Amino acid sequence: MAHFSHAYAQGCSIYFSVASTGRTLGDRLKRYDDLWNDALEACMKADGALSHHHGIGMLKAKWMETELGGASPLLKGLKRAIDPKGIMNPGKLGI
Amino acid sequence: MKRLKKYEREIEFCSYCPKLCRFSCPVAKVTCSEASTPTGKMTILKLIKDGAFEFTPEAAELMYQCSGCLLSRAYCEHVIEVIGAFEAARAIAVEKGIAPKRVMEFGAAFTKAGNPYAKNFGAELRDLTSGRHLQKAPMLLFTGCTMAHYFPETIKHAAKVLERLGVDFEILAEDGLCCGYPMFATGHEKILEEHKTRLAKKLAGHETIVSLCPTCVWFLKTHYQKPGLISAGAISHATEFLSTRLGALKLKSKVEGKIVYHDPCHLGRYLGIYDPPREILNQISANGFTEFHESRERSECCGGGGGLPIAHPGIARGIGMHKIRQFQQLGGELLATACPMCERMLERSGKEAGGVKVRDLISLIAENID
Amino acid sequence: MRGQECPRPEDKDMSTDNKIVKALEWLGNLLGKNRVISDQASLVIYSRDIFMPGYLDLREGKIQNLPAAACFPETVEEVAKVISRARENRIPVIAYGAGSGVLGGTIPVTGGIMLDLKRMREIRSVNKIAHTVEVEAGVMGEDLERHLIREGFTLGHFPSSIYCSTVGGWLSTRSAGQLSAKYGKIEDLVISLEGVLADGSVFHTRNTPRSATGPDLDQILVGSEGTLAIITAAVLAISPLPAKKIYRGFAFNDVPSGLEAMRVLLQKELVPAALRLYDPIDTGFNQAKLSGPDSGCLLVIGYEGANDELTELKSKLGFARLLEMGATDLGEAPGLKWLEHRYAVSYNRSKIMASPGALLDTIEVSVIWRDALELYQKVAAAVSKLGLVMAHFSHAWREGVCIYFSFLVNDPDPEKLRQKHLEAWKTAMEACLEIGASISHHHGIGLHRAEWLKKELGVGHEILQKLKNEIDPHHILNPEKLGFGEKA
Repeated sequence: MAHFSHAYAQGCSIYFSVASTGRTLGDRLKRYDDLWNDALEACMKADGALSHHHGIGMLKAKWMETELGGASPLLKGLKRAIDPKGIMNPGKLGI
Repeated sequence: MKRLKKYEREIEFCSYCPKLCRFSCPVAKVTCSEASTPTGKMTILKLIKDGAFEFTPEAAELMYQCSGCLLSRAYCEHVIEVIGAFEAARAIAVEKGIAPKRVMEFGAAFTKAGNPYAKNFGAELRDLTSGRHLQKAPMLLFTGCTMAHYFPETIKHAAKVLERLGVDFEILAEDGLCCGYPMFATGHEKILEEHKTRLAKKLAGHETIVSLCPTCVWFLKTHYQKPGLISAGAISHATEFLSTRLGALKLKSKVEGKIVYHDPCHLGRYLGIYDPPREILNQISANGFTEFHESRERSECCGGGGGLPIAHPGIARGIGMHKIRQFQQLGGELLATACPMCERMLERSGKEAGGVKVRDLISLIAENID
Repeated sequence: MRGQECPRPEDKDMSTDNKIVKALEWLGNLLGKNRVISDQASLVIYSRDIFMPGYLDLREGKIQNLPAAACFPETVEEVAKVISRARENRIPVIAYGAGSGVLGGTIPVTGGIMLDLKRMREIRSVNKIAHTVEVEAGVMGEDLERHLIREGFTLGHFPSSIYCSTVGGWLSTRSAGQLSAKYGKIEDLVISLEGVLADGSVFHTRNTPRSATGPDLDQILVGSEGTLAIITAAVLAISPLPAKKIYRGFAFNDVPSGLEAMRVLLQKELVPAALRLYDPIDTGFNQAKLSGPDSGCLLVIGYEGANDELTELKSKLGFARLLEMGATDLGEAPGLKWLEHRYAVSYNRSKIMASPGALLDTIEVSVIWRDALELYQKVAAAVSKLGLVMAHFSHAWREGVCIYFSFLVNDPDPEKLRQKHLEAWKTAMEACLEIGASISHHHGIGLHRAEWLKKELGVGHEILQKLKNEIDPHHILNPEKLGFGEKA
């Protein structure tokens, strides 16, 4: 199900809630991963943004390259410039 | 450089201006170069005037990048007309022999024929009217060379309309059928002076002069009538002359289709004639007419003025294309105007854009009367 | 030619002249000969924007800072090719719109190639559902606005340079329009950007209204003045064309009471479109036509919107509030006259500059309400020792205001005139730094404010410098602007 939780003159946030189940823990984890994959692939295809307000963290990291539309060198450059050893919260934001 | 002194205020004000007319310049719209803008060209002139930059052939090229449309005046709080300074610079360039090659050749060709088209207009016009209207009459119909060259049919149309109105007139059928503006605009002062002396004699003895070309009207008024070279009391454009007399004609039909009217710069901003062509259109069209996005004082140029088609034909065509694209966006079917140079430029750009019907108002009148 | 000097970066492999010849060759191959210009007369024009010392150079007949060429790409791919080649050849590239910046932001101080973006002039689409326009960087402001008006919309962005500035220029400098209270500054209108990074890679940021996907890269690039990337197009938010415009003039006895009234309107949900307060000298000097002498401080206020009822109600409440706060109602005329002549003030510059020994310049700064009066008084007092100074408060926000100083100084000695000019700037900039205000509200940094920017940003500038070094290691993009010096 979904609700449209934040709206602007240009567009809105879609807030999906999902519930699912599976026979085994493995099934459930796979379903969980598939679900995220399918949802975010669809989002990227439809030119949506990965996140409206929850952020990226680790979960959405692998889509960041696509999300940034070619501008990732700027973000990576910024990271390298101010955190050359990568000690600040490593592995997040896909950088 | 004395010639530039006359335009000191314009040159100084424009050079120090934060380019407030920038977006309006049709030449700069095509070249996109900052050097082509009114401010850019005036800045070069200031440096030349102050002796800080040599007047090079390259700088001279820039001075010819202006159609003299006067559109920038509409956005200038100081009401500056930039073209005067460029005309002065062109005269210097011709004198120094640094004007573009095309301009120098243009002058030589003009000298031979007495017009810019290397044509024998005298014979052509006598044929065109089958020998009628060649006797001296108080009113002279000055067709202008551009109309005679590109649109001789319109001259026939004008004769027909005047005949139906019962006007007694004489058509000037001369080889040197040119007001001289092309020489003025390209800086050929000497050629112009000789030409003016010759033409003034032909224009003597007429009370009124009506021209089919707004450039001729403006030039005859400012360079012949004002300095007292000719005695004619009234010089007017055909649309002015006809707009008040049209009621006397019986229209057999009206012009159909979506008409868009283009204000010629020389008719509009130079002569201030905006309403007569519109009055004519209102009377002869079945469903009225449409304005361009910008019209009257803010109307955009066709690219044909200021000798631009001679010095920079590519830029001139680009300006015409801009206008044609707008015409097509408006869904126009007939592009009406009242100047042979505009008609020519728009027709040519129209051809590149797949064909556009461009007509002079005189022809539209003539085609709809018996 | 007098005083010509074209400093260009040192190069071990190639002489500068050789490099230029080569550049003309590869540029011509990439774009076609007709889209590269290198004649001296044209390059003189590209050597200046409208930065005051450039005007003084012009007055003194000094020609300097000529670039090697100006070129005119038409697509983002062409821009990328030019950037890549320039990077390989270590030759600077300066993004250029219409050259109406006042801080020297496009002056090719180290030579190089002017990347004139005005051939990227397509208004790609107007999205009437999302209320956005996708527009290329080289579109002139007035052309865009007229296009939008015909579609029933407005960008709502009306800098007084709208006739002589481009969308790309606005984005590069974080420009402001006169109706900023309602529509925001240009950075508030940016939905997404297209462009080329310093390494030649093309980017399109996501076309979404808001997101939580890491730092806002659009906002790093907006205001970067062509030092980090070349912006080639943008999606901008647009608004329905206002049906109702209600403009009016009010008079306040003095600046403090006028400022207080502005703050109250903004903080009490009575936000107008235009809200401008002129100090007594500015009221008399620039706005004399509007208000007559001795009217104290003129306040111009305008409400507009697509909803008639709402606009009327807001204006009614807003005007009533002003009267409660001691304003005198001057009627509609001063407001409407301002609206009609709102770009007129920039024409004054010509009149002053055409008189030898005089100059007129402007300084805009940003300050929170608490400190606005102090900053205004401090700068006005100090600069008035050098010449005539006046100010208006031209953009107002819930938190504070932009003070726009205009100053006129005279000196028959050209060198002393330059010193006075610099002194006035120094006074204003140092006062900002001392009080904690921002040294620029919307004109940007360019060359002129570089040193003061470093002081304003402190460690922030060090971070920016590191970012610059990281993504543009050879400083190809607009060298020496924004205070980015040689690689540390």
